[in-house]
Amino acid sequence: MDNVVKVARIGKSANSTDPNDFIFHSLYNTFKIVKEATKVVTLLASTANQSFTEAHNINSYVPLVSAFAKKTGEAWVFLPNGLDVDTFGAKAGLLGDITFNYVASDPNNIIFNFNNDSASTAEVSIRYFLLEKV
Amino acid sequence: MSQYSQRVSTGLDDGYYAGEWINNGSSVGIGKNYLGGVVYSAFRFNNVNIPPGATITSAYLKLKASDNTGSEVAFKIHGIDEDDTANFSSDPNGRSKTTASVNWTLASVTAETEYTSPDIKTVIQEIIDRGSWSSGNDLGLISADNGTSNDRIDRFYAYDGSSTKCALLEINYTGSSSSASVSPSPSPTPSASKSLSISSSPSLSPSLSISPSPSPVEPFFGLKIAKSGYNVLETGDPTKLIFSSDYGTLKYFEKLTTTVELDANAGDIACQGSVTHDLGYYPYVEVFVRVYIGSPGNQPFEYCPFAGSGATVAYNANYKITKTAITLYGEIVGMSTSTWSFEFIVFVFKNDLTL
Repeated sequence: MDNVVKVARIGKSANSTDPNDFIFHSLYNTFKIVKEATKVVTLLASTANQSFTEAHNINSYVPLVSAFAKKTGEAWVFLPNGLDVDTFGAKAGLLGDITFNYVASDPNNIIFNFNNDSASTAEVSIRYFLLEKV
Repeated sequence: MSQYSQRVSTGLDDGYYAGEWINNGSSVGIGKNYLGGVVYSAFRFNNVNIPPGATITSAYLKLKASDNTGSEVAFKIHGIDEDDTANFSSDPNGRSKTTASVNWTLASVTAETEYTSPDIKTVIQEIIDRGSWSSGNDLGLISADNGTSNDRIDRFYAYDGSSTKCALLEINYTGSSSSASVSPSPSPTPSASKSLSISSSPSLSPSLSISPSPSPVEPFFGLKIAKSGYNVLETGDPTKLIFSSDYGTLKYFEKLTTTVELDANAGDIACQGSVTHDLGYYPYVEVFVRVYIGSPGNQPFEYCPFAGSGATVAYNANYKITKTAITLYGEIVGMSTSTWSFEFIVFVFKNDLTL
């Protein structure tokens, strides 16, 4: 029999066999955030495929990265593979000046890639999370 | 010649500064962060049974790397210029440092490899030669930057990461007629559990009367739960822990769902919906979407983190996060005469993106 530490959700039994009934269960890993930080970048005007790198200082593995972006002055956050959606009509497509093409990582760096379709430069703040080795 | 050899022996006897003083981490760091801020470490060794007047013939600080790094870190080792330095419950960088220092440069480090400093006998000698030094005092060392480039940090085991891999100080010395130098009290053997280190004290020789007994075990301020097969007292490696209070986790808040539709036969190519939250900040969000032609319940194309395609039609989904809602979008690209449904599942976490 396993020795476990379990914390059930309010209203759920600690004897439940459904992992969804637990806030914490020591038989299941919690996905640990080994680092979180913010990086601010300035996108060139009217330029696609702009990459920015950030050393992650985790040299023992290539970390999974989760990232979110916010253009300075706007009141919403967007994400990799997405636009800074600011105009949307019932019969219109997704419109935005900035595309957060992707976030990637290699043994040394995190890479953030953007398009900026605007004729102006744009400052973007990126919040990223590095996750434990999987 | 006699030798003193001992590791850091409590959690408050090592630590490092990386924007704030951290004395309960599993590792310590030396180098510079990406903004150029100096990251420094300090180590305190208990019960240094070297009598006043002794001559230090050699001394070495040994650090075992906890992670691989491939870039050069250059630093100096100073002593803390005090007779009996206190523990590092607070940042010790403001304490007086020895005039003597020794440069140490590491081109790269490999995890689980122990690195030995250059000879730091001048640093140790300066402390022993203080007029009021006494055998059995506690001695501190602290690093200082010596030209490391930005964003280069080496990490080494701290006591809280491993009591058997944390910093080790070896001092070889001669001189003095003190009984302590003839029969130095045994170094406490780092043990696998706290209870063992306590129970070892009855085995100490009569020199116990002139030598402070090993420091009591400091409390561990945190919670670690190891995966099966790992000793929770010997690892700070997050991959070996189910849970560690040294690391953040995503704080699940709620699951929200919504389905939005577009009628391509009516000329729509996009649709929009939203779910609300009341957090008042931009939360960490994960979104999954399933795309159907027709109503949910029909055969779905696939789970779709944001893009996919059928035979002639591509479809995309997107979302944006505000302080009160998650707005969800679906669109198709290509010729279609069908109704499309985008079924979104939104997981909202309480983690604040602080953007």
